[in-house]
Amino acid sequence: MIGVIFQSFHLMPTMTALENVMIPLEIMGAENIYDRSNEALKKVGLSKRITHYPAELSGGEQQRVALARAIVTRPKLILADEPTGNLDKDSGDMVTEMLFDLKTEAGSTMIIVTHSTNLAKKCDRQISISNGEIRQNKKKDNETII
Amino acid sequence: MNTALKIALREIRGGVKGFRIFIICLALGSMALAAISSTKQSINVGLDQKAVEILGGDVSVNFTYRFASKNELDFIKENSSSFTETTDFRSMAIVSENNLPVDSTLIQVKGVDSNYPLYGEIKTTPNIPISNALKEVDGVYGLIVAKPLLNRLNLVLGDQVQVGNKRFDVRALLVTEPDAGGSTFSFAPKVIAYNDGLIDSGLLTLGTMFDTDYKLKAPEIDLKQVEEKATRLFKQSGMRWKDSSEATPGIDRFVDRLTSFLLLIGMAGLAIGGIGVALSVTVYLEGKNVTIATLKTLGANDKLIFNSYFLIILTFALTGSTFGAFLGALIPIGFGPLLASKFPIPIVFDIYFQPILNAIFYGILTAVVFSTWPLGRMINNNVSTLIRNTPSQNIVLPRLRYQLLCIFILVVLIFSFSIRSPQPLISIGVFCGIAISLVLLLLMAKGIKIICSTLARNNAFKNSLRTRLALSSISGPNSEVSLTMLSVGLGLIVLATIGQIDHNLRYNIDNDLQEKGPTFFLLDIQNSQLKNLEDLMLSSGKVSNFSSAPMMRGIISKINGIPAEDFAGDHWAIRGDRGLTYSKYLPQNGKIIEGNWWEENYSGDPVISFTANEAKEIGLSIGDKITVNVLGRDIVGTITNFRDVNWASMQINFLMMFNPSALEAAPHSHIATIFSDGASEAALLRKISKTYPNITAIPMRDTLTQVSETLATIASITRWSSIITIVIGFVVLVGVSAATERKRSYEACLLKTLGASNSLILLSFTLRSTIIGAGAGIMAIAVGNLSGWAFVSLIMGLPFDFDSKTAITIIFLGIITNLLAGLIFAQKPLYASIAQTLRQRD
Repeated sequence: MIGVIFQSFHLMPTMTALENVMIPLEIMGAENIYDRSNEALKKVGLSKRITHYPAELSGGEQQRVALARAIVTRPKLILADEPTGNLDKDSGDMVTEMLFDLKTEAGSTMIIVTHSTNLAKKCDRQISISNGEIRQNKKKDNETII
Repeated sequence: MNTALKIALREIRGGVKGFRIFIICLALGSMALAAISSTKQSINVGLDQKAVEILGGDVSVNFTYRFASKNELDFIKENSSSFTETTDFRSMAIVSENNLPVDSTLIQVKGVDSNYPLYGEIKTTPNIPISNALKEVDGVYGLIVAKPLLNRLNLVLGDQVQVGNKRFDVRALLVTEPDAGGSTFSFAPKVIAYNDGLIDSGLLTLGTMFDTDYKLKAPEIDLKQVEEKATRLFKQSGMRWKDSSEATPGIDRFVDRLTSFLLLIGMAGLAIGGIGVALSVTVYLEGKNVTIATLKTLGANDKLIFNSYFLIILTFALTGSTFGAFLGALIPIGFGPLLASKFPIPIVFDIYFQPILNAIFYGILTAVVFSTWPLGRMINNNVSTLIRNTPSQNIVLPRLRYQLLCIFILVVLIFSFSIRSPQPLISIGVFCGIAISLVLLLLMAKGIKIICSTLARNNAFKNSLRTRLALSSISGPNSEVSLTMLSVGLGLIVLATIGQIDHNLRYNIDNDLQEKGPTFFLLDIQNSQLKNLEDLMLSSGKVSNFSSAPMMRGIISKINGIPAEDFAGDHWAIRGDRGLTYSKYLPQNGKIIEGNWWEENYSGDPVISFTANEAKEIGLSIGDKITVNVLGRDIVGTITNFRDVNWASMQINFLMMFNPSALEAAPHSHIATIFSDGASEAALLRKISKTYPNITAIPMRDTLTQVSETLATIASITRWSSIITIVIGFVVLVGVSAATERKRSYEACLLKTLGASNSLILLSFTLRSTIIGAGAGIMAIAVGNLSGWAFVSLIMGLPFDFDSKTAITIIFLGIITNLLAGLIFAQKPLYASIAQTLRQRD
């Protein structure tokens, strides 16, 4: 199972926060869907916003719902495309922190695409791509691989 | 050039994407209006061109129950180059074997003389001169008969039938009759005979029920002058004068009413098209957010922007309406042969410009009404909202001047349409009905959203993702449920209403009226025959009830000394002659509403009991004086009471009842009703035919069956016409689906990134369309039943029966229409590129 996080959140506009988080579990045919989704939203600090539609949430809140949706299935791999690109600094920092905490808790591997060097520095490995070519591949301790 | 016009032209030059649905909706609505109006015009022109032929002469002079007197006949001769005398009445055709009647049926008899017809020609099979078909040969006169008579009595040409006291040879089949459109409408087969033969048979004697018409050839006579003279000399004696300008008042009225009803259905179609117009304009303007914002930042004021886009809308409104109107005008020409074969009246199919102009006019007005609101709303947004492309989420009203403009044009539309209708109040009522239906549909949409929202959170659906997806998308923000309900719901309401009314009228005729009504109505019972007939019927042991009443006919000529038409307008009670009776007692089925019944032995000046409803409509009061012309003699009676009468009871009822001494001396016959079981019908008919061949027996079952069949034909015309509302609704739905295709592509792609399969997404789309379609169907059934009940119970006074077949059809139609429109646009969302679709949103 793969969890995906988009720059523009891509939540279902016709569904509430809770319903959005429930979708991947329902597709999987998982059990305890309500409890697990509620738990995921609680982890991202949105337990009081579960009945709100995306249009009723701020950008940071929407991305946290997307985050909850991505980790609720406890995926082996999380793909995050510019997860803080559409957020202000405070919201971005909060989402980044949660993203790494939840990844660790779920024991998942996460691949992030980002222009933010601060966010990239938090990763175990950074691969820089320019014009479609890998320019740099280094570990967190700055050990260069290529 | 005007700046607004310049901007409009540049915008049109830059592309008109999004106006397809706009044009199709308006074109279909205008097409329906033009087609109906052109058909009406074709019939009117046909009737006008053949008016003299249909009337049977340049002038027709009519008398009730008698021939013209010597003075009247002299006047007719003086004022015509030639004339023909025709009679018209109902009678029985009897087939005998060994002098015993074995079969009989009701016929509509037309008596003619050797001058008939003055205009046009009568066509028969075999094609023989009319004189050969009707003349006396070896003491037996001939008949020309309509084919259904041969079928009903198992006859062939050359057989004999008895009419009255005489036998006639059936010599020819009637193919066409030039003045058929001007004759009495009847369900009974037509029989043509010479008056001389009918007089011999005892059917045209004083006191029997027949009409006489003198058709005059008077091409070079000043008809107006002669009419004035005839009115002055003979109106009091009951002479009725009619020239070719009023040859077919019955057909004109029927065509007028049917087409005005169909035009209202067309207007309902145009209203649905208006929803498509509003949708198209909204989608088009959403694509112009940035352009409008830019124009605003460059200094354009709201008025300039409104005018520019209003001109664009007008251009497309004119295009769509004109295209549809011309197409509609061609439809009657295309279906001409089919229409002509169904209606035996002259129809001149051609392209008529008045209906085209009317359809274009209503099309443009509808487009303006439905465009002004979204346009006004859009330009009322500020620049930042427009730039961010989010005006649809920003609920603003148009400025007051645009709201007033919208209301003003709506009023002009309703007023201009209603004033041309033969029944303006009914037209206005239907417009109000359309408005109420639209509001109810919006409320229903709201209700569906609430129910779906509740269900989506219900544990019962927690294991069915496709159901929850469908429920969420219906209940969520920007749901298309309102638009869908409006577009398909109104058409379904029209169909449901027509279906319920048609079912109930026929249900009441087929069941209630046939059960409660008499087996026969008997006409032309002579005074000397009444007692014996009653004894004969009651002694047969097959008759449970025999009721009779004296019967004559008279014309209301004056009310309180004023000409009746000046007092009562065009009320049916003063149109033509009406049945009259006299009685010592209030009838058993009668109930006095106001005033008192006369004393049993009252023999003073004539007094009248008038039916309460009709008296109220005309504006009569107790004490008013009514002048009635009976057989050429004026009788002035005073109204002493008003009676309540249920015309649908199938009992003997009269508009006016007199005290006996007022009428009993006048020559008259009696009518009677016979109640028996259905199995005895044929035996009773044979008994009456054998003993009293002059008495006309009208079997109720046959008549009601024919009425039912006629109603079915009318219902079928209206039902097929109202299909246009569903077609336009479908086009709007297609527009809705097209407009929301991007949204659904996005939903589908998002679901796929979360692991959903195509089949799950497709099932969810299907479920969504099914729920909304069923909701529209249920609402249509509720409103259709309510309006059907109001018509059947409140207006017609009949019991209402819910038609489940129509209801199921309506729900099915709602689901199918919605499913089809939704699934046409399902493919793209299912197979859209996920990366591309999601990137477009970034």
